[in-house]
Amino acid sequence: MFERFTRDARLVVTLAEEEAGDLGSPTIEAEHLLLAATRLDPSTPVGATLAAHGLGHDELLEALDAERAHSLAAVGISISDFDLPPARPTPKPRFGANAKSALEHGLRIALERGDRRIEAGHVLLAVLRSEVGTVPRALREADVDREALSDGLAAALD
Amino acid sequence: MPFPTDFETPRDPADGLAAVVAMRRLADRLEVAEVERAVRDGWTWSLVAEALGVTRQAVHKKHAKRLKALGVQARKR
Repeated sequence: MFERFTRDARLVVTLAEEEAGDLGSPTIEAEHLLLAATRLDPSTPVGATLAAHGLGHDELLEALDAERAHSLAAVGISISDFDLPPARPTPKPRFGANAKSALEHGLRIALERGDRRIEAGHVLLAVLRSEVGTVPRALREADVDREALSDGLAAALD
Repeated sequence: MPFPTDFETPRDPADGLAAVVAMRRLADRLEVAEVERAVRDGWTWSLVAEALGVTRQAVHKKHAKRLKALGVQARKR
């Protein structure tokens, strides 16, 4: 399915696998695609848009930690009570359902827009389309307006 | 047995479901750490599997490669 992906779109997929692996996640999730995108060069359309919205790699990692801590606190679990050693890298994380569907949806977004190639921007628009789950919750933690960010990414694709 | 209710159950299903996801991730992290500790302490794969309530094959498939890469070998029975 990657034949029509641009170099940056492929890079996002490769870096997402790296992000998931480094974080010790058994699966590649939508948030790993977003983390990967924050590593694109700021001279690229997606890199520039994310930077303009204040979403860097460190900010997103911090927001993801905060999201997890808050979600656990809602059921009375305090993450700081766990004496966890640093995450062990996962050698070969598999694609999780959300990341997989984001890639498929990115393709659909490109088709609907009449774009020939699938760019990193299409993949990110797909990642950002969901109103529920870890990504929108982490964006709220980071004080990033999901819809404004989507609009910015769509404008950068024009 | 009733579901424990000594914690505040989230009102919004979005929060409740996010808690499920976060607990799964936490359980994964904890499993990785505890399996490594058990194997370093000399537990066999069979014993680890029994303690987790899964098959030996399942626990081996999930953890053996990673532990081997760290130079940790489970004791033979």
